[in-house]
Amino acid sequence: MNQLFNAGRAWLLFRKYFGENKKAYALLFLACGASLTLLMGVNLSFTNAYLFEETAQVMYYFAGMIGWGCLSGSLLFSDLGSKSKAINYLLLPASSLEKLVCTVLFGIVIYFIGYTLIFYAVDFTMVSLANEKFKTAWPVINVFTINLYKSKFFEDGQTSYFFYIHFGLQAFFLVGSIYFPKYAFFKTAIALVLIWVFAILYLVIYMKNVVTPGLYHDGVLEAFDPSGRNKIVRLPGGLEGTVEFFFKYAVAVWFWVVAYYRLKEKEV
Amino acid sequence: MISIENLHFAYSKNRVFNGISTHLQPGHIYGILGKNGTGKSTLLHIISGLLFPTEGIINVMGFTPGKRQPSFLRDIFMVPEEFHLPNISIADYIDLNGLFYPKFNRQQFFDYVRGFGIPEHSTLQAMSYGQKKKVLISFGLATNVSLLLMDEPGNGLDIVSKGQLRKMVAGAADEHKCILISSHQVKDLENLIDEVLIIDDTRILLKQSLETIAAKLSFKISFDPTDLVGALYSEPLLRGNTVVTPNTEGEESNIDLEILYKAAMADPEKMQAIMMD
Repeated sequence: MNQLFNAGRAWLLFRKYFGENKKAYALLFLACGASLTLLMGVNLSFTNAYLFEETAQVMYYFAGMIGWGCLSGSLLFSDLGSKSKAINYLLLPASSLEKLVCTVLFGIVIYFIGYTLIFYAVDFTMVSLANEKFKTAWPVINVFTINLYKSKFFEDGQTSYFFYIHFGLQAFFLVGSIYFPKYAFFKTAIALVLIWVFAILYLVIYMKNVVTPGLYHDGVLEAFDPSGRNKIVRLPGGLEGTVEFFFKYAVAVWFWVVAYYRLKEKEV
Repeated sequence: MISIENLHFAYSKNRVFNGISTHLQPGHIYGILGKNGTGKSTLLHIISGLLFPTEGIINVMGFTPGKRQPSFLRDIFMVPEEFHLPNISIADYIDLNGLFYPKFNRQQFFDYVRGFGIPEHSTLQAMSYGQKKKVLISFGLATNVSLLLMDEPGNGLDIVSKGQLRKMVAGAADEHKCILISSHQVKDLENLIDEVLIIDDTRILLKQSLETIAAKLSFKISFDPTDLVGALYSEPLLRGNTVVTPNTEGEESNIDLEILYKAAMADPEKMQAIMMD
């Protein structure tokens, strides 16, 4: 018998997880729908028709998805914070990998699909009402061609970056739910802020004194002396691709791997 | 089945086990006795893989418990002192959980549940703590795993149910199974266990079969004050004394687990010396 992953065992685990958590997920999706309805309903009461243009809809979509995603992510392993539930969970005859895959499948993949469907239902209704009220013709956004709606938050306007932010943050909160037995959401949020502050301080205070003074083009790939005329270093272009790949795809996976090892070493 | 060699364990600076070694065999029901905080639950958690020893070797059915491999987990079941059951019906609970245990017997489960007087169609949400515990015990027994660990199973059960529990556990035992029951309520284990394991002060103070104990110790109620002189332990009653003495005459007596436990705690060295003889 494969001790790492067995499809039959994983199926039993998915069945059990769904059977025991379907009410919680139904409530989560209801809450997502209610919050989107409230937000867009309030906007509908204003006289500004542009609150329903495509880029505004995109913001509602990501705000809800990231907000609820972080909150639900911080609850995914909350059972480990309760001794009785942790015993039940850890002694269930399935491997740590199967348990993690099950959690990722429901908490991240199914959440993403469910939230998107609910968003479409609410967005379609609200945009229709807005078009009726304001005599406009705003279309309902298509999340599969999200980059058509340019974002002001990013230099190149690639709105799809919000997906990477969402999956990375949700994975971070998932890890937080294992590390912090109590108040995981708040503690993870605080940890996130601290990491952010530390990164800023590191770049602004430490790196500024370490790297060569001068001008930088292409991020940090090309460095020039203070006159801006003489190039003093050119880092390989592949480095940019590697860094970009890491932040786009590997961050979430890296946090899932951390969660896996943390789950394996969890004691009660 | 369970082999423990030089096992050390500590919660931060609080040392619980200091190099304990023991072997537990299938076909026995072991009763683990000890004061609160001596490590009864900790030992069960280490055996099940919920806690990892700081030093030493533990092998359970050929597995290292801390790895929590599915093949190991499907052949053990633990009824913890603090337990959790989801808010679903009994039928859903066994449908969703029973298949994880290859030897789970549905009919047996419902027999146990009926034996405890619980309506089969009730939902776990509507049950009292004691009723939920009965469902969990029934489920644990019906898994027919090779190693069943029960941590204070009598807690929360009424007197009649405790008797029922003893009957069910005794009925579920066979030569392939090893059942470990920890309890601070010694009476819960009477007429159930066949080996006793007393833990005290980071060590195993006594591990012996009741048969051996009966051969080496004599338990009686004495009205003769001279019996108290050579007694290992005595306790005054309304009339007379309960006395534990070395069984030099080879006489048969019924072991009183509570008195045995008190005798072991009163003079551990003397008790160990008698058992080593």
